[in-house]
Amino acid sequence: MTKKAVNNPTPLVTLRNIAKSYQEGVVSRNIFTDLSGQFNAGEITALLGRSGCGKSTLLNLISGIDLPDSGSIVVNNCALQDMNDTERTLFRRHHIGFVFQSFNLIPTLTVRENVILPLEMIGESEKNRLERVSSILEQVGLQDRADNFPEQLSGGEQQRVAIARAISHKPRLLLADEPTGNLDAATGAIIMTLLESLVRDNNITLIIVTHSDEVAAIADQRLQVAQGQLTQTI
Amino acid sequence: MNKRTIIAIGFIIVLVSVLVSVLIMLPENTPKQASQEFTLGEIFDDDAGGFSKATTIIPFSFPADHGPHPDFKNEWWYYTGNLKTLQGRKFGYQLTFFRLGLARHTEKRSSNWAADTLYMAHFALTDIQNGKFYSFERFARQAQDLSGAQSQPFKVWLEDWSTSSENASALPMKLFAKEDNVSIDLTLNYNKPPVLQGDQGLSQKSDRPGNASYYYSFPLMPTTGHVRIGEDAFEITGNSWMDREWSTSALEKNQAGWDWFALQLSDNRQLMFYQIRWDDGRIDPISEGTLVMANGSSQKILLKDITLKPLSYWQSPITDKRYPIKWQMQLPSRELDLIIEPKMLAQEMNLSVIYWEGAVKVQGSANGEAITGQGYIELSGY
Amino acid sequence: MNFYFPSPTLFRASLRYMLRHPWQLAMSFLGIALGVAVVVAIDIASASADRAFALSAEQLSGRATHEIVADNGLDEQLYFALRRDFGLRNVAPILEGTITIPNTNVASIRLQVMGIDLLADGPFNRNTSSDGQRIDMQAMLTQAGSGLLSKTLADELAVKEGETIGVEIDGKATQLFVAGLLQSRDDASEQALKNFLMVDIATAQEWFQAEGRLSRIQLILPEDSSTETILTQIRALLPDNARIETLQSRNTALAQMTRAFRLNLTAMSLLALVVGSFIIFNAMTFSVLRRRALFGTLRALGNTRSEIGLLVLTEALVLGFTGAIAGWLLGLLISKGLLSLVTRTINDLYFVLEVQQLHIGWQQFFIALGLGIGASLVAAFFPALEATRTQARVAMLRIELEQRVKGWMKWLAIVGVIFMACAWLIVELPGQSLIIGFVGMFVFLLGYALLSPLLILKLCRVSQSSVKRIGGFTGNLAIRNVYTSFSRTGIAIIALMIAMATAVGVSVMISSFRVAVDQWLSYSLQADMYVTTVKGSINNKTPVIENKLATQVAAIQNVDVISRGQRIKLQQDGKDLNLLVLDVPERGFKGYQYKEGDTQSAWPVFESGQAVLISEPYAYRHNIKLGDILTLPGKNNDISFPVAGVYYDYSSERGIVVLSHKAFNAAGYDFQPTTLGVYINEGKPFNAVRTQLQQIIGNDNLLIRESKAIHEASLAVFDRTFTITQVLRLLTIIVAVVGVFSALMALHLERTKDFAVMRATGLTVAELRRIVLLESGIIGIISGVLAIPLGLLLARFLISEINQRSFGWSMAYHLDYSHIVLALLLAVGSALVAGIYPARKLASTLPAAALRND
Repeated sequence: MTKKAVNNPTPLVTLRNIAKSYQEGVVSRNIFTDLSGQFNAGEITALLGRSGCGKSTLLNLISGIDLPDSGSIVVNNCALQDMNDTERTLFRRHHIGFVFQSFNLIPTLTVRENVILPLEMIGESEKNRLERVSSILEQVGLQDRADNFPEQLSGGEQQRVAIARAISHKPRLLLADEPTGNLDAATGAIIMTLLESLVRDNNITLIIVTHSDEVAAIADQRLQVAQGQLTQTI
Repeated sequence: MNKRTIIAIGFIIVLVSVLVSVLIMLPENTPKQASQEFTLGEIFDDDAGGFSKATTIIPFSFPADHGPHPDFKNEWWYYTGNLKTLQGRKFGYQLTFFRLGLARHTEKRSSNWAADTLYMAHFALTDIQNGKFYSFERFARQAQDLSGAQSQPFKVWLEDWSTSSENASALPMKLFAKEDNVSIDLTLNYNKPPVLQGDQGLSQKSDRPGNASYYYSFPLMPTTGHVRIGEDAFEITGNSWMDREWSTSALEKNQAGWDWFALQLSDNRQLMFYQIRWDDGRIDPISEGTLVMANGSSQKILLKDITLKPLSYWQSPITDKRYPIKWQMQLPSRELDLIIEPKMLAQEMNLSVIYWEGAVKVQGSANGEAITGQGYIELSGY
Repeated sequence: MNFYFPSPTLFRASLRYMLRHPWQLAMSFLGIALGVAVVVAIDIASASADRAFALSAEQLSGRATHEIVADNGLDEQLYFALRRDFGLRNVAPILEGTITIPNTNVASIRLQVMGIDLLADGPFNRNTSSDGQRIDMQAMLTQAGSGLLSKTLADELAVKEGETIGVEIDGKATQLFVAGLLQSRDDASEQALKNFLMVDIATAQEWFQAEGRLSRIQLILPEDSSTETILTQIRALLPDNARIETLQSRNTALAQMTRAFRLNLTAMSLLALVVGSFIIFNAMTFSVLRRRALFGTLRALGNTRSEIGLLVLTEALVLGFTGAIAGWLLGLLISKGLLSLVTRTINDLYFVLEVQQLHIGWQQFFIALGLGIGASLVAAFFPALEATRTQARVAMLRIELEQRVKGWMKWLAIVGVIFMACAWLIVELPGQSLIIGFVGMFVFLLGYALLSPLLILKLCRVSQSSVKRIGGFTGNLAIRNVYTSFSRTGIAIIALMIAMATAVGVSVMISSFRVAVDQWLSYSLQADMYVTTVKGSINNKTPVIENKLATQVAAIQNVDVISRGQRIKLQQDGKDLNLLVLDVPERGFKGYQYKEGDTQSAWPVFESGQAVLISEPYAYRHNIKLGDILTLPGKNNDISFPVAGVYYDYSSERGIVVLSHKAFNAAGYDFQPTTLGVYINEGKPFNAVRTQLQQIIGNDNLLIRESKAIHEASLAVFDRTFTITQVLRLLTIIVAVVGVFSALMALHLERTKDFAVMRATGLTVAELRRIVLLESGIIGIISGVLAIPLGLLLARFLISEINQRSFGWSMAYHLDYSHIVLALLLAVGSALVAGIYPARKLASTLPAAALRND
């Protein structure tokens, strides 16, 4: 599998000359000045770097949540900077999944409903939705917790629901922002194993922000974010 | 479905049912059927309460008896007549004053409006040429000079409708009535003795003693005067008929109505006949009439002397009532055979009391010779 | 732009969110429901009164087109002249009065008696047919005391036709024979009919000792070119004091009289709704702010802005809809109570009107829905907008939000000042429109509300050090909490402030009004005693205070001088013109207090009949000033007088023209005084004079009343009149308390975790409770302090604009400091009450549980 990806490096995400700064009060802080990079389809990329170096911002840019000041972001042959907010939102809805450090499940929805939500949004039929949800819950091993509310689950279980939600609509790209950050080491490892197998089985491109070497170890490429640049590391 | 969903749905159901029930409870504004205020029948119908009854034959005295008889409950001055202009344009009229005693011996009251008697008057004019029929009604209490009757000088009035005379004899009589743009202003003469109907003026209306009235007529009153309709005034001549009747109780409950004929024949005879119908359609055997001869003498006519046969009917388009409008009247013993038909069909009095009363013409034979005539008939209780 | 409608699962999330915060839900629900309820209740009460009036007018006028009326009733000969001599067919005599049916199960019932001539009444087709019932005509005409009752009333009283019941007329017992029952065409008319007793005119004359008199004569005149001719001919037959008017104009004029009053009520009720909207605004803002993180996640998952916005608006819609329905139902309940208050005021101020039936139409239902949903949607608009702004990068920091809110304050304040300026401009527009006045008032309120965030912040800053000094670290924490979480507290403060300002404004207005009326009564009732003909009695066989009587009274020992007066209504340009004709000594004339002019210059010209006085409302409505020339309809020709003074008067909204009997005579009329003022020599006892006076008049138709008694009775009426206003004010305050309660609940519950942390780090339960109550107290004080200037401004507004526009009355601004103290106490009190539950709840929450619970 890994070989195949290496042999046919098709870029799914291409970043060119990205500049991004934030206004903080009267001071503007430059995060990126001229960042370029490429994420190949089907690969797992680990984004490494110190706190505040712009890893999360990069994820927001790739997902179209945020726009760069200049430069281009092409995801799945779509130039995000040329799309308006709604188009980017719909693009995200159909092609991107998100896993957060703090899970961000919707507390008033059950596990099943949380997972169904993205499917509903893309207009999947009711029958397909239910089939898909039960299969995916089975894949993450939570078929018996489907009717529980998030607060009734442990952290690891919640993150598994989040993962199920993130891939339920079969996105091309999965963005994970320190998915193991709120979990103990053992649970973190289980989650990563699950994530990797699901991503590879479904041929999903995964970009994962992490501080953990163990997590980085499973990646096909490791990119360091520093001084507003992306650099390959070993 | 979990518990919360059930609660939510329950809430909505409760809300909807509350709404629906409120809607149902809101009163509907369906109009109720309003009825006539009161009917003459209801007033006539009351029991005697202190009034005298017509039980015995009494001598009439004129002109005093032209005036009111307050001891009796009901009384009327009934004028009908057929009129025409010099050019021959024909009219018919009716003007009737009804006196209705409500109570006797009431206590003295301080308001001048207090009354124990009320008057009703009907006024009708038939414009035969134009096929128009006008009818009006008035009520007023006998108080505050609104209505009343007196014999000296003779006057019966309801506001500005009146019959009166300037002379002690009460003759000639002046009739005046005006409503909207229709009016009559007539002078009626009479120079024969009054015709006493029934048994010397006591006219029995049912078997029961006291169910009778005192009844006299002036059956042929040469009439002159004016009829006005709108802008047009017509000078007319013709003949009228006056009936005077007073009573306290006349009809029985199961007597449904009557057919009354007042005919002035070309041989100078006048014929009055009434038949009282029962609920079941039978004719009361007490029905009777009078044939007044040219010399003023009169002959009593009993039911057995007469054959009355309706020949055709007219149904009122307004009230849907069906009246026998054309009659054959035969008096074999007098060799009289008459066909009576209305000069105009639509002469229905659609007032508080609904009846047909109108001008008629008569054709037939008397003693084998052709005879004509005119008059008025009244068909009530249909 | 494409709108993407939120998916069902999102709605489910939103519904569960609401259900998980039942307090918040209940409070916003209650807020909107109460606000709507007050508006609905007032509208129902007002519409019922209006409808009852229209129905009874319709019932009793039937097809009548014109009516002849006179102040003291009519001689019945006029009727006969019209009917018999003039030959009018469709003319009907009417004699009215009231009787009481005492001691029924509930209470005494007052019936309006309508004496008619049934025999002449046919063409009028009054709504009095007896449906399948028989009227005992014989009894009606011949038996004194026979009458026709509505079937509904008869059923209630359990009387049948042919029975006799006891009634009272002017306190005297007599008998009513039920000669028949009236039934109306529909239920609503039946209810209107319920207050009426139809009797024969003879019975009415006897009952009310009005033999020979009529109250009114009704006519049906054809509507064609002949009408004017007939009217002219009829007018020629009328006596001086009688006039013929169209029923339509008469009824419209009567209905118009209450219009200003009812509009005032509606405006007051809308204030309650404004306060209610603030509650919704607060609740929606709060729920949106609390869900920022959630909305952020949703945005990351690919929900569009419009979906998030629609989600929030839908929540508001559901809340508004259910709140409106509940408010409507609640309004129905309250309206019954308000109805009697509204009716009482109408009875005191305008005309006799019995309203027993609530008129509940669809109108109020749609008003409720419209206002409820409208107010919630408007209130939720900004929160919804805020929700759509939520960035997907998972929520701005709280502190950032608060900073942004503070950034807006300056702009809000500027807009607020502009609004207030606009309000001032609006009321300065020429014209006397009451609605414009209210629009101005609401714009002003809004402006002040917009300005207040900045004021609140400044107030917090200014008071921080002193609160800290008094309250120690808990005080410091409390006041910091108030202004650092301004996005949460601000709206509650503003809602409470508006309610309190309304309370202050209305109280100050009422007390100013009361003081003005009190003073006016003192100076206008100059005489010590008044002899009056019985008011409203058509049985005025002596409608006039005879000259002889006046001379006798003047001769009583210790009587200094006497005055005589006559009130009369003339017609001018189709409108009523109220005249007060006086034969008054200088001592009495001094009672007039002038807005323009003065006694010294007015007296000689007035006394000699060369000039007239006009009351302030008259001047306002006709735009007439001191020195202007006023033209009055003389008996034969119009006659003009200069205006020698504009005086304060609160007795008539339409205004009064006062002239001396000499001027009145000059206009061609006879002076027929109906009141006599008796001025007693200074310091002499009343009683002896009174006794002699009683001996002289010795007539049932004249009444002696002492000025003091009139004064007191008038003030009692005044107080009764304003009960409804006080009740409305109270309702508004209740709504505001609910608002503060919900805001505090929300605020404190949101910070459960913060408090848990504080508790964990050593804050005692007592300290925690103190912080919460202190916060509530601070909110109350700030609201109260801000409400005072607004309230005083509102009072000015009510006095100088609304009262002037409604009634044409101006009055001095009378500030009673107790109102201000009371408002402050009320504000703090209601805030504290609202804080008790959250304080208890928080104090009893275990920190561990709160910490665990995210």
